[in-house]
Amino acid sequence: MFLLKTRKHHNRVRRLPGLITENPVLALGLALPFVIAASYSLRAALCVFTGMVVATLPTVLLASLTGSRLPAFIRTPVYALCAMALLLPAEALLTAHFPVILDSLGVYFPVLAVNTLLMHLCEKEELWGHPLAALRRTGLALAGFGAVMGIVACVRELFGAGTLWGMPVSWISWRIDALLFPFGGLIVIAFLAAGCRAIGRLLRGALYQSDQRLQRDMLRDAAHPPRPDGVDGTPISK
Amino acid sequence: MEAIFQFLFYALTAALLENIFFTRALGIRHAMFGSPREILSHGVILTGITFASSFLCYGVRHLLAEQSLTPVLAALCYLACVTIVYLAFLPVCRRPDLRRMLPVSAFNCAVLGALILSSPGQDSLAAAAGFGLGSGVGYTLALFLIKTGRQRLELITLPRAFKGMPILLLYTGIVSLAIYGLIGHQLPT
Repeated sequence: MFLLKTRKHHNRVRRLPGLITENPVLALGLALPFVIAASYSLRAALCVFTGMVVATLPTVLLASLTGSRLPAFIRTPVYALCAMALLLPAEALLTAHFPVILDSLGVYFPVLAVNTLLMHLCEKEELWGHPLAALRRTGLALAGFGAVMGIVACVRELFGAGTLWGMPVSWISWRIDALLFPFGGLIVIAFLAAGCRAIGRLLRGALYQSDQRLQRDMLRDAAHPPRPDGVDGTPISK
Repeated sequence: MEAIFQFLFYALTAALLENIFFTRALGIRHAMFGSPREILSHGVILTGITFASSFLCYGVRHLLAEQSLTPVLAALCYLACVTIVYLAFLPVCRRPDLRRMLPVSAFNCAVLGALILSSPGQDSLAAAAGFGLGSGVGYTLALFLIKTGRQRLELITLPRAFKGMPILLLYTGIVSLAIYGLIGHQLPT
């Protein structure tokens, strides 16, 4: 089968696992509570994302260095306790800049230490012993998480509160306050996941159609090659 | 007698009114996968761990009552309690499938979230234990409710983009909205 463009696209996106393919939130359903409930504003999303980065990157690095050496039953508590300890400086840092937001996040900031994205990455055996690969993979997964979190926070804050980064947006004359509640987050993320899936399928379909057209053109050219010019230089087709 | 009433009151409150799954979306990933048997095992282990940890957390809260702990530092203490309970559960769970599930059920957002949420209001051991038990039971019931919905959603015709996780999230959102209304909240207008 002739799939030149499709394969090229597939190879391109496969190099970024977590960001485009296997997005931790939209494809794997990881770290959902934070995207659903804690992303009611861009500032809250930033606080959660900062906490997530601070807790996840060093813990996954630790897991990649010690994963195979630790007994299976002790690994998860060690990672969870390590991530929680790392959240302490993050909390101090964010309290200095966003005290109200951090207070309003409530339970969601401390539970970042046991989030499913962190546990998923720590338990990936193919990353054990490869710290650089683990860091790259974690970075991409966090970027994917951050992108989804940012989009959801933007939509919810804009249409739920009529503000963006706390500043009123003049062209929003109506608000859907329900978007600020966890069920609003669930509905937004459901539509976002479905939308991303539909766009991905449309893109793949368009590339496939393009490949098919290219293949048809090549087959037609092979079956009916352009006629050579006459010996005397006058074009035969004329 | 008062302690029993308090226990039951907090257990029912945690299971129905403050269901950690529907009101806070904690532990939502576990609703998307797994057979009823796995959900039951997960729920039973989670309930046991939350219930047992709530006793330890109650003790820790009283020990450190005079210290002004930040939320994360308090959560670190609760996580240490969960770890102790987890290590105590290890010899009990001998079956390989339960042993595999134990870390996942012990260290997740639902357990830690329930323990953090139970901390401010409950000033008695019965209340704290009731809240811990109710949270676990409510979470397990919520997983079964979502599982039932998942089975029904598989039978209906849907746009391809919505199949799987998106429709399940939408379904959970609508059930969550219904529960939100059921407990007497008014939607902002």
